[in-house]
Amino acid sequence: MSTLDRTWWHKQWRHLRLWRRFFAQAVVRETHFRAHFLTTLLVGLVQLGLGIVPTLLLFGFTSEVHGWSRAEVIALVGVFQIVTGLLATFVAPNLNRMTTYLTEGELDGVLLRPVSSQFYLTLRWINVAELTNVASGIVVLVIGLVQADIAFGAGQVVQAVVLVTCGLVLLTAVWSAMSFLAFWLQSVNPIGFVFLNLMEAGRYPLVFFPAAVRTFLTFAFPVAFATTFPVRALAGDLGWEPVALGVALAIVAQGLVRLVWRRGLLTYSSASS
Amino acid sequence: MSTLARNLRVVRRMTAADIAQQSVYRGAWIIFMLANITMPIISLLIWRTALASGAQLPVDERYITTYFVLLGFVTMATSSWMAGFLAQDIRLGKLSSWMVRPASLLTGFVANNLSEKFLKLFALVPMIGIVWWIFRDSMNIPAGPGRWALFAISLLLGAMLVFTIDILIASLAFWMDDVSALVQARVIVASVLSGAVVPLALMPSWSKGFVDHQPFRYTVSFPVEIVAGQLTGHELLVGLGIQLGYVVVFAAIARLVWSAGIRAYSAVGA
Amino acid sequence: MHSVTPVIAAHDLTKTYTFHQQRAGLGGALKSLVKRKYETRLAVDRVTFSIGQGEVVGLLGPNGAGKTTTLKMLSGLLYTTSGDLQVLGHAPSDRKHDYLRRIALVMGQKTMLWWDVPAMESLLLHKDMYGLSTAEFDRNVAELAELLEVEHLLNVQVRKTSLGERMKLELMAALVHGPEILFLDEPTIGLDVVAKARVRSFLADVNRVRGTTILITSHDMDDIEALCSRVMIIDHGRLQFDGGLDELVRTARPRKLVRATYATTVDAVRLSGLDGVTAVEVSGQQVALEADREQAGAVMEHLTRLGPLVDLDVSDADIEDIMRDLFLRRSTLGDLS
Repeated sequence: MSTLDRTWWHKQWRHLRLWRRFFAQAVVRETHFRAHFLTTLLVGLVQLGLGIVPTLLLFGFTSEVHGWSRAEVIALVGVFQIVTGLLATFVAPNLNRMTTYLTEGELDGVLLRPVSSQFYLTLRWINVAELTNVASGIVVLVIGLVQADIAFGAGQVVQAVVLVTCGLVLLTAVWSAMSFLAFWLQSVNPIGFVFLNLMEAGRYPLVFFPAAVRTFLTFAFPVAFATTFPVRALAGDLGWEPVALGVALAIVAQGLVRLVWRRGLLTYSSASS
Repeated sequence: MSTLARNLRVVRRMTAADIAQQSVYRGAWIIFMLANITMPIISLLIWRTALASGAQLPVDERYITTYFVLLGFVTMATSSWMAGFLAQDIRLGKLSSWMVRPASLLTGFVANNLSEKFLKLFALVPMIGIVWWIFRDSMNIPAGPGRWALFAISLLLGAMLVFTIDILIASLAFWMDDVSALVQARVIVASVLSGAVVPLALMPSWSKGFVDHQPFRYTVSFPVEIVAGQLTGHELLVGLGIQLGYVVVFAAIARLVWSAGIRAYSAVGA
Repeated sequence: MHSVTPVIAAHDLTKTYTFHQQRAGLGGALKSLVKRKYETRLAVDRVTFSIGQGEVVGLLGPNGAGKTTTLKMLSGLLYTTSGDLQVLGHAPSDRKHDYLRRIALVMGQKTMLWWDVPAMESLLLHKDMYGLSTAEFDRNVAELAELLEVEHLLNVQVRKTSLGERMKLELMAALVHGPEILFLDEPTIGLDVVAKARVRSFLADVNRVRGTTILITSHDMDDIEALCSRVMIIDHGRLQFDGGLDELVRTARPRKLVRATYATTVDAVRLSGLDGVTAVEVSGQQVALEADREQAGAVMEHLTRLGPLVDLDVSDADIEDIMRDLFLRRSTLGDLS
């Protein structure tokens, strides 16, 4: 009998095609719920506004902090909004379900498919409405960049995009690892809440924090790659070392998450009745 | 036995049962409280950096530090999450099973509120202790027990104020189909006006008049201000008086609206 | 009919669970925060069997007997504690993609379809997951939809279908990738008589036309009777019986329970003497008795002639009764496996 995937590439391609279908179905499903779209947009704008209040107040008392002007911090908030919007669209709807998958036994249905279960669990559900936050983030970013008078070339854009991608991969890895604790702890519903609160540190440039916290935000909870570094890249004062570091960390993080996942599944498959 | 005594006994029993039930979730409360203090810590670090880099704030570093260290505790101690649930119970007609029993409908919510706070306390206090110790050199600690006593009283009043506001909003569910938007609005408005996002002292001067007198100041900000400093004895007592006043006023309004709602509810039959 | 190598081979399959006790009350709850007392439970106890390609096997047993646990081990959802297990030449718990796409599992009480999209979308998801070509997919969908008579439901949201319709759609989704083995866990639970009959005839068709090996767990004798040539009974984790259905019926003689209600009191004294009838109980206008399956028809005919019949209720003896009978006979007639 022939095998399902002739090569490794076939396997990746099959998963990509499957993901495309996830996305198409999500779009179809959500266009039915226009009220949901509007609510998400509104709530997103309110949260954006609330999140920006401390920054605006702060810069009412001073014109620059550690080399960052108000406009630059606004650009940062824009990137933050884009990153959190992407996470809310593609990752949050899945990891927030983690406890349900385990307690309701829905994980079984996932494990039976000839599809990578880690892939499925992390990317199956898509909250298309949250893309409105990505849109508003782009607007804020543009406003910030214009006000700060930042001119950038193609190289810097590439740097920024790679950094944001690494940041997303890293943050997803951290969030996944936190959620996979559900294999051992039963109830990890507050985990998403913790993650989102920690994310808030990403609204501010890395230098606003003391040294120890900076290390934490670069290596343990890498918002730095997702928000601060990309803006600095666009501003032109970031070399390629942080980019390389980001990519390396991303690969390591993925490996670690895979390990956690495997251990979790082992526990699950020995214990569920 | 008087109604109050009876209700208190019910609350005590339900609280104990709630605590027993919820202590099963070992890790969850610790995780929850960790999330709770993250925001204040981030704010703490940001504002200290701003100060260190030369920003001219109307308050000093000690005030800021003390404020944010205590903020997480005060927010938790005065919090209420019952509005949405109570509104849902009203909408789904679940009040009936309570109305046939000789205890106030609200006992369940009070018990739930107390029991969760009890458990959160155990998780939160050590964490705040650690943060306190780290920043102990730049905090304003009132010397005598007098201030702390006033702090405790103000805390209690703040919790009561939040609770009564929630009852008021939930009561609207007797007449409105969907109060969830209002509940959300309360949370958002309160988070800004109660000083949970930014200390009210840092609000722009043109808003001071309004900000300093609106009721939400007396839910979280005022208790924290008692310890963080800068309130003279006179201002403190006046503030407590205003806080008490708000509690009484809102409780009275809530009571009126609630009773009217119950009457309307019973008239239709549930 | 059966190939030489069995498609499923289990030898001394065992599964034990460990779990901790939770005591009631505040004291107990706080204690369990600090110290936990662990217990083990033997769910499946050295079960050995092999199933050949194309067989339709019923797995019977009371609730909690270990049927679902066994099924989960066979489909790879659960690791075995000890013993050997080979399905289609694979160790199921490895969950290799090449293994997963040759099997299917349908659980009567849990749906694998996606709620708020039309059934067709779920099927398309399966197409992508199992890597089916468009031609193959379209052909299978058309064939299955016709067999199950669900063509009109394919574009309806799954949440809007009835229980019976949903079960058919579940079966369709499970078979669209052409699995060689179909595991079914209580597939007819909650369905009405008509829907049950449809599902059973469909499964028989699938087995006949495609040679799909089918393993069904149930505690409904009628399911087993209609479909299975072979029955395995699991009780308290042990395989108590493994043989043909007629052998089971012959040895355990599962009875039918009949209850008749009349408009007036009747004289049922003659019933006791009837062939295959036992445990006759008469109370006023009600007559209750147990009858052998083969005699059930004749007995019911007798009952109608006893008087003006108002209500007639026929049901199966409990699986527990069957097994009680089985063990009773075993002890008197010697071991039967």
